[in-house]
Amino acid sequence: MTTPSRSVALVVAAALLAGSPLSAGRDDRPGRPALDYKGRRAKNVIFFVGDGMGVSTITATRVYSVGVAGNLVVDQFPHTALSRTYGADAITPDSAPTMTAMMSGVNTNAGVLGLDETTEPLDFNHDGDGRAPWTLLEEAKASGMKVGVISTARITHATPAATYAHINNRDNENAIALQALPGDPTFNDRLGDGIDLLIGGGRQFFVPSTVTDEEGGTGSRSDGRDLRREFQSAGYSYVWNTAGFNALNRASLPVLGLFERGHMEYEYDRPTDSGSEPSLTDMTVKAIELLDGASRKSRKSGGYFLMVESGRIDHAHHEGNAFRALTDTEELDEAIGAAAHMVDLRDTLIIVSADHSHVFNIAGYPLRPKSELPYQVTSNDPGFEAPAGNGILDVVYDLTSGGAVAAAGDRNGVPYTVLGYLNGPGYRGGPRTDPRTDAFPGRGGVVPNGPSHPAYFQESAVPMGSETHAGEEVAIYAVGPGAALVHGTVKNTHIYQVMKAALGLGE
Amino acid sequence: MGRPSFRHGAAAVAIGIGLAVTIPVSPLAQGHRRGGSEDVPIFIVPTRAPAAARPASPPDLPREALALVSATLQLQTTRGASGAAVVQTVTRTADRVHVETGAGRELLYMRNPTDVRRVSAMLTDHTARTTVVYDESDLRRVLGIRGWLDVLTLGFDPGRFAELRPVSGTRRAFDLPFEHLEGPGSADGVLEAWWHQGELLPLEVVRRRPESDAPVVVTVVQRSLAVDRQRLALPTTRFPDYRQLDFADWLEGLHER
Ligand SMILES: [Zn+2]
Repeated sequence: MTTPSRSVALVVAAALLAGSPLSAGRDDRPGRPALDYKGRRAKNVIFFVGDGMGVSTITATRVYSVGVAGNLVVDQFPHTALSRTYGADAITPDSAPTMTAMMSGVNTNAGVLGLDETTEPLDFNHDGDGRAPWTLLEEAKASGMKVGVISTARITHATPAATYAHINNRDNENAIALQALPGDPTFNDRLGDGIDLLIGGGRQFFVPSTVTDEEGGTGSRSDGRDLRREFQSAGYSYVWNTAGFNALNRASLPVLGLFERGHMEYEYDRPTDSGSEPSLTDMTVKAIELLDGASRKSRKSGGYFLMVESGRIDHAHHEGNAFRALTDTEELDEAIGAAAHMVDLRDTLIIVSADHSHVFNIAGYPLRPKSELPYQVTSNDPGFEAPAGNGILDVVYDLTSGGAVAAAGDRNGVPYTVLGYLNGPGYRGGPRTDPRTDAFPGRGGVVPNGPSHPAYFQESAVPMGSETHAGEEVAIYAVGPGAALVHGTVKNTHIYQVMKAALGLGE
Repeated sequence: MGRPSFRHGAAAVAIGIGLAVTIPVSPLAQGHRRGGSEDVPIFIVPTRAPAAARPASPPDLPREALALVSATLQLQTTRGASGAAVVQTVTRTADRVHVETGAGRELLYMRNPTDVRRVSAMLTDHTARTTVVYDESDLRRVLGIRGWLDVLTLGFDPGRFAELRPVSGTRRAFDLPFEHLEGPGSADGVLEAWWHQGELLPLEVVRRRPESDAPVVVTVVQRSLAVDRQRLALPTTRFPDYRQLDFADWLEGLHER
């Protein structure tokens, strides 16, 4: 199979960039590939990011969803690596430098998007911003590919924004939205005629602060501009609920979909949304249908690049609520499975990774559920008949010396849960109590009936209003052309290099 | 029964626990799967554990809710016989409720203009000069507020009052008769209440929380028909130079300093 040369298109695109409003301090053209790759070229790349999806989150989700010996879809990916996530200024990073690293191959500082490490957040040294490296999405677009961005977070949030924006403050989402709007003076013109598909949450940054949106929420734009209309004037189809979403077809491109004022709902909470919103799987399937169809129709037939973020695994962990972290990770695995099922893996590279981990642990020596044990136990605690979440959302049940199964205790004999956090809102204070009868109010002041309840706060050792990220490596999973480049322990910037080499960009 | 995977439709295959199937080739993939000699991995669709029951939709509003008289209420909460009383000022109208929460914070709840069962809120923290936006599901998850009705009734579910039995001894306050209800304790721990259905107003509620033996008594000690409209304006207009954050991002930033 041959892939059309992308270098000619890139030169043309670079020439068009002269005099752009963003041209100061930015690279004129993308760098050359760092990896020497002679294998089969990818026509398409789909990059899945689980925000905050550390290895312990994947393991816990596996046990919850398919059992400890079961296989998630990602478990079946043939190529894996460990990815080091440190930022230019931090041992433990936030999403801005990590997604910049994964999308641009350049490590940077906390809070900075798409600008190199000489850039401080909000330019606090007043020495100007550093260089703006090309993102893989920009390079793909400039080479004639279709490009799409999906997130269950706000579409202007750090992770999705790092695919298309360059700014020294991730919180300036009003400005980030404008960088995606064709025709705006601050439009990022590396995006050519614009991102072909941009769907997720975050309608507030497209709606004036004086205007009520379709679901009764208020906008956050102080400049009075209604970007929903402006994107439509720029040729976009705009949708905000499942009815509009379901009606999208290839002719609808380019598409702007904003399904929630803020972040989209957690998968568990999604059915109660007022306007109703698509799942991450729904959005992934639709995006592939549209981008694949459009890229085939186009004479350049350049393929597509799609970034899909499950943005709220991170939020659930910050809330100290493992339940929603696991159910959102499970939904991401569904979306990955749907994509792997739809595409031709001989011409499409799928990469899955995370931006950083969380201080989330699987503790003790919990037994597998009774039905999975290779021996008969002499007796067991009644709760062990069907431990919640295949044993992961329950207390630790362990084997005693006489072959009986009982809830394992701390040094005072009080049971504890399998899942827990080092810090966060689940700090109890005072003496510990049995998690199965613990009256510590969970989410919403609801007293959970045990650790599998959706409102349950897993215990934490350090009292904090919000649980934190963690600094260890995260996993990379890959399948398709170029996937064999994913091995060993690498810096997260390697992901950019793999995608670039597989697509043959910049050669 | 396990949950069939790939919930998006045609590819869904209902299978039993512990089984797995190879993923059928979709029309999209078939279109360019030629030759067949390539070594392409075949992914197995896992059968997932059954999903937990999802949260319920917000409760419907009784007709009284739409024609509610605006009032300023003084709300006193006492924990236990010797517990210190906390007094809060609540400004309540048919579509906005403002709560002065103390400690330099205030909360504005807003009825959703397109679906009156729904609610969002803004918490203003004057010390941090920040306004935090709670969407409907944040409120449900974090504060246990199911919808606008729970806000109007000061956090008490009128449906729970129906589990109590009326007893004699109507109490009058603010020129209104409050019905006396009593019972062995409803699901949310309410033992006794004085309630006015027409005003959707509890005069007093006695409840016992499972985490404590001491009853919590919430009493409306004052009711005035004068309303400070200023409090009901959006914090983004009242405090335009404050930082505005969504709840999830507030949590993201809490560890920064
Ligand atoms: Zn985070």
